[in-house]
Amino acid sequence: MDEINLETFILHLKRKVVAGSFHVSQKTAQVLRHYISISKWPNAKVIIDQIKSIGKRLIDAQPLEFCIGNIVRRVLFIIREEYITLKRNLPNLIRLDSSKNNLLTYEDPDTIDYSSHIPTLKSQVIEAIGELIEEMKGLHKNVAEHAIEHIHSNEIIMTFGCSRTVEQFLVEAARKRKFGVIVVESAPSLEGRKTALTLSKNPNIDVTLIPDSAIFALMSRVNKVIIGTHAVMANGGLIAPSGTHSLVVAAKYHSVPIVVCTGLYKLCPLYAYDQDTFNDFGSPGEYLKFQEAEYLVNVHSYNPSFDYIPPELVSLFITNNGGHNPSYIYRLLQEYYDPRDMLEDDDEDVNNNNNNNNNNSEISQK
Amino acid sequence: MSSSSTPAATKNAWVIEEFGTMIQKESEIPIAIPAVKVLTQAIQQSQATTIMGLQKELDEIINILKGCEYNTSISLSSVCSLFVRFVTRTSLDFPVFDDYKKTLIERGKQLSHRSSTARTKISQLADRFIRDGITILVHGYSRVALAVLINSHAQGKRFNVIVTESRPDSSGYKTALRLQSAGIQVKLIMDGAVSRFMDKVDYVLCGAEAIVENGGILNKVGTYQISIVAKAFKKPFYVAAESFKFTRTYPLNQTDVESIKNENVVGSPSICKTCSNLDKPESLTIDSPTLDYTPPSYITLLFTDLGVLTPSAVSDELIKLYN
Amino acid sequence: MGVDKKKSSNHGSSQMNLDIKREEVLRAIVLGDSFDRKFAPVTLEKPRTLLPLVNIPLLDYTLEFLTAGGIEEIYIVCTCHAEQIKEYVETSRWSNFKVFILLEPGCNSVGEVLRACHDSQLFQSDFVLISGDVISNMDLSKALKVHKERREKDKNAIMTMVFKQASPTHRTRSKQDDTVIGWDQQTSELVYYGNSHSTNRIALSIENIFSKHQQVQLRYDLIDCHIDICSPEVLALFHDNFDFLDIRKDFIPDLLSNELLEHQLHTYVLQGEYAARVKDLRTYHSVSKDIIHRWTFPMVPDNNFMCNSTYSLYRQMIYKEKMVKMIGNCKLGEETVIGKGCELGDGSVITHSVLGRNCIIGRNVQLHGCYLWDGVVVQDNAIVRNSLLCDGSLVCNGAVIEKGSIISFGVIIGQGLHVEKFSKFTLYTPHKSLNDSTENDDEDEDDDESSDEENEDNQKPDEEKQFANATVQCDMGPGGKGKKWIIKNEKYNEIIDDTDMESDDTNDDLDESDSSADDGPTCNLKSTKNSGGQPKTFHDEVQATVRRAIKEKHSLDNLHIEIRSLRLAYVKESLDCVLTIFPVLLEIPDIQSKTQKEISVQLSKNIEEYSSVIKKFSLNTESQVDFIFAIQDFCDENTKYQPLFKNILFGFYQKGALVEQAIINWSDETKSDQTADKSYLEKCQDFIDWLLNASEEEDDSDEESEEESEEETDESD
Repeated sequence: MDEINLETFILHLKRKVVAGSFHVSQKTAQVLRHYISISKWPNAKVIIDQIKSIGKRLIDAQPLEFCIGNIVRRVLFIIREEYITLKRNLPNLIRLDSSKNNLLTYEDPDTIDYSSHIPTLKSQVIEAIGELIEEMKGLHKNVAEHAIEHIHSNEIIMTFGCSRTVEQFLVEAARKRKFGVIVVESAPSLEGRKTALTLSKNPNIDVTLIPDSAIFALMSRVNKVIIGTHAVMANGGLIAPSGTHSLVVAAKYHSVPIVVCTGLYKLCPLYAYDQDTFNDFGSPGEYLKFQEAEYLVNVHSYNPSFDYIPPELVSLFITNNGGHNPSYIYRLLQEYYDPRDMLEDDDEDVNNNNNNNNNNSEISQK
Repeated sequence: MSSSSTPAATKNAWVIEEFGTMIQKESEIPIAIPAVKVLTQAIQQSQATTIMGLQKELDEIINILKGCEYNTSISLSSVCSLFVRFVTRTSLDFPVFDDYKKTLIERGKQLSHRSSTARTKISQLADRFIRDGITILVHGYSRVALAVLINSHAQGKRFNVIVTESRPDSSGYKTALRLQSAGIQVKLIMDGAVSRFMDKVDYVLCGAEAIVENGGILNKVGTYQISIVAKAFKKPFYVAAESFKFTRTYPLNQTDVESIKNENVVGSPSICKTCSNLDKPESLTIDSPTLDYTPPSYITLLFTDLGVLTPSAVSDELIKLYN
Repeated sequence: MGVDKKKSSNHGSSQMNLDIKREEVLRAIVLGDSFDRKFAPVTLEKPRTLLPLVNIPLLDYTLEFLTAGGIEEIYIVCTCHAEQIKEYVETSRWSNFKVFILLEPGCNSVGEVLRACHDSQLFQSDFVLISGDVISNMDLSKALKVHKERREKDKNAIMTMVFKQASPTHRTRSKQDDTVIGWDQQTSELVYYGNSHSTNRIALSIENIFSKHQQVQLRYDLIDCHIDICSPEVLALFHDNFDFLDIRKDFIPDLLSNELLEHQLHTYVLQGEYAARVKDLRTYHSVSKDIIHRWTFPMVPDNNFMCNSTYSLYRQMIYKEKMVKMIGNCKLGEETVIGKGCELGDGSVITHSVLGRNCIIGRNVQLHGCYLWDGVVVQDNAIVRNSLLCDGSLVCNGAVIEKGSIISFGVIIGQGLHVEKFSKFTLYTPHKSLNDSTENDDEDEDDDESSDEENEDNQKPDEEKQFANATVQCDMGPGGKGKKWIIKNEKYNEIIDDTDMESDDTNDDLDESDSSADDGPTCNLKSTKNSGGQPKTFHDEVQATVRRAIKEKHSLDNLHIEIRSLRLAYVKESLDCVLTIFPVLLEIPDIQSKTQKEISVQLSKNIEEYSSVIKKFSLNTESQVDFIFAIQDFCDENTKYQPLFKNILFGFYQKGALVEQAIINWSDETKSDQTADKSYLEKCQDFIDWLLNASEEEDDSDEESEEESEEETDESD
């Protein structure tokens, strides 16, 4: 991957030339690393601001590909961390408290001074982003390492659609165990068929392909549901391909544990406010022929891409650094992101601030 | 004993007077802010020359504050213990007393500043949760919840609010009036009608008297049952509250609520007047508690000035704080 | 003609010359003009490609589609309003791309544009030819690959046309689009392309088709997307045949019927992808709907692909930009798009509408199925239904605008005015247009009354006159401003009641307006279907042309071209032309006073001289049979010619205007038909016998007829 132009990348994102969380994340990290290495910046503050504004443009290019924002936040976090570590080593500087105890942070986080010039920062940051990229490359393997602990012989696993992480997870388990997998084909993309094909090549996996409508009927036979996800939200909820919710609810009904395999880069510090907030609608052409549509003039056709799944429906997350309970997700967030880097429309917040102040004063006057 | 009590008594007079005027001057601000201001002032005025001495003085003042008639909220004691926690923690970092005192004053000011901007921050965070055209159920009178709603309305969001009457003090009526004067569409309903309206509601939003260690809340009586109804209807239940309401208590059941309250609050508002006015036989017992405890499992998210938190994140914050 | 004028073109040509050297740069020609007036009077002030479709100029969709499809260099050929297009491209985000503007103000047809492109020498490898108003999300690279692979195998596969499946009644299909496609399913080669609506029937040359193809499928359910992947030969062919004006009307039929050239056209039918052209107001309406319904995904408003908008999608297909101010109890219904800075007043209801930026809607306004462009103001209590309101127009208090109306730029509809349905208002004044440099080209064409794509150019010379009469002052209500655009009302009022339009469901109301918006001939065509009035004019005009040509001794080539353009103008078959012109060609002055002998000599002379014109129309065998029958009828009517029937037949045969097979077929048909008049057949029986027997050894006629007859014999064997 040589020169990656930021503008072309944004364009590719917009046109969904680069698509799929994994590729997008990799590319984002590479683009940012490239940007940091070629651009000139006097201190951490400047580059943080620049990365923030670039980050926002990247996010805008594909607002529902949460991992773009996640990677940008990770990179910002890396810069902050590296800065603070390096600064500590410099003599005669005020002591910095990096404990993340919000209630007692003595300094307002905004007052931390990132403007000192530290010559070695650039190389350190680039190296750390390199590590991040490496980490992502290995994450499928890391997730799959846990497979043996979760899949036992002769179990029946149900999975949904096509997830590379889940696929590798199952294949890894199949090296030692023999078990059955029921693959849900996941209309309208029918990606499940791809998964079924891949898995069927493995002699230890007994593959069954079912339509989405058969989920409930077959659930009672299933020992575990293992799925991938598009994003993990801050409360441990999921943004997953449309149709997953019904699968998960069926599993809950039969008390079948639901295991979500995901790389940490899908961990997103935002909250899914409701079913609509983070959803995209594809072309109805995926399930409806254009030439047929004329007969359905008065029929609305929607093709939502995602489901929001509340955290209480998930039993376990398996990530590249181990298994986690949904309620533990916020803890992971604190380890990987800085609260100052939420990257949610700041411009608006300025307005909010003003308005708010007005409101408050109004309230107090009354 | 008497010699030491005399200066304490003079201090006493100053503290209560100051505290009282501050509260009366700005009735809408949370009680925690004047408390922090008083404590900061006390440190400024303090003649103590040792850390221990200063802490002792502070303890005395806190006791006075807690004991005074203005103490109507649990948040007073939580903010005081927060302040103390922070005084003791900081003591380890500064070997020189003057530096220490200076830092304390500075941070006391920061704390009161942060507390006063908390509502703004919460409003901003919560704004994302308010979409056009939704219906929100509000219980009781919460200044934070009000700030959230009014702010979003000012942002051009259009939504409906259903307010419960919130007996016995009918604080819901007050809320409804305030919302209406802000131009928000409001409907006032009886407390008993919550489940009747729940299917029309998108989510419940309420404030909190205190946020306890397990992520649950203490709030106006009736909150618990609304949260149960919301859960039954699978509607989200959101709480908006400032971080100084984080309290180091761990209620296990509803009966603990009264004891927590009695421990921390002096000037308790009188019990339900309408109830007691009833023409009733002497033998009939009337109990009209003001608070109840909502366990964390019924709470979807808490909007605080530290960010949007899950109940388990709240308990994590609290454990970290007092560890 | 256009070829000579092309030098007026382009900025930065040095840069382009460099580009030529690089091979395999993917290029595209975007037609910046549609050469029709379907959007009049709107297009008098703004080029069609810049008209906003769901708040984004049409051109942006096309350019986005091309750049997303991997096209590296885009050439927009502009004629009308070229400055506006140029300015737009230079100030938008396309300035960062290799998008070039070729100014060709002299061009009046696609053909001329393509000839100019040929002369520019820029297109030496495969390129995409597309109209500047095509919306598509197809994977262009796939189609390009298919084209390239085919071309590697066969150099003659010069063009691939993209089609999308949709039945003739589909809303996205233009009412004028009656395309019938014949294609070989195995090779996907195009064998027939026709617009059936002129005749309600199609003519297929069975031998031609099935000699080469085992199986041919005729399709009536395909939309021609006007996306063509062309090889440079296409330009060369246009260069060689300078009478080609349009791809679909001239180039394709010619190529398909011409057996001498081995060139092949191919089809590419989209599977699940979207492509459509905004041809007229009807398709403007339906493509808007398609976009709102997300058929064009990812080219949907909330994708914000132009990077200058902030749309997000809400329930019920409501797209809203940030900073939309909604006051009080206003209601946004489904399928609505609202741009930044709009203000919606209390009690207003807006459904199925698209609002541009900074529109101000008063209180209790009802907008249903409307297209409001930027800065439109609709005051309190107004009602607007299924209409198009252009930039800066103003609807005053209480006005009512009925369906199908067009309110052009800056028009003010006065207070309480009731606007009838299908009304059009504009501020445009024709004088202004004459001063406008971009419009000057209109005068250029005078004598070559070339018909363009929609056959309207033949009206152009009197266009100025026409525009002068196009608008009338009328009551615009208190405070109103604007003039009524009456062209359609004058001429085509009676056509509006078209039953198939009324039978459309209410959503399609806008279509009515546009079919009525279509100028001239297209509408006339409709009437040809129903009444027989139209052919008369065609007949007269053609005969007059031929007479003039004979009198003034024009070259026969020119005559042919003239007739041909008339044929296109009236959308006629070649057969029609032949049938119209041959009586004139055979005409002999003062026939009554002449002896049979004299007539015979004169006739032979006429045939000798003019039959090459008929030959140029290269009728197929079937039509030729019709032609013979027509000659028969002609002789019936003109008794003087009766004895000479054989001479005529023989003369045309000798000159190659008739082929042997046709004459044989004619004789067979006449024989087998009980009722037919067999007298003519008897007259030339010896000739036919001679034909049947001596087909092999005959080599005394001229070369071409020989070739043809040989071919025929091969086939008959």
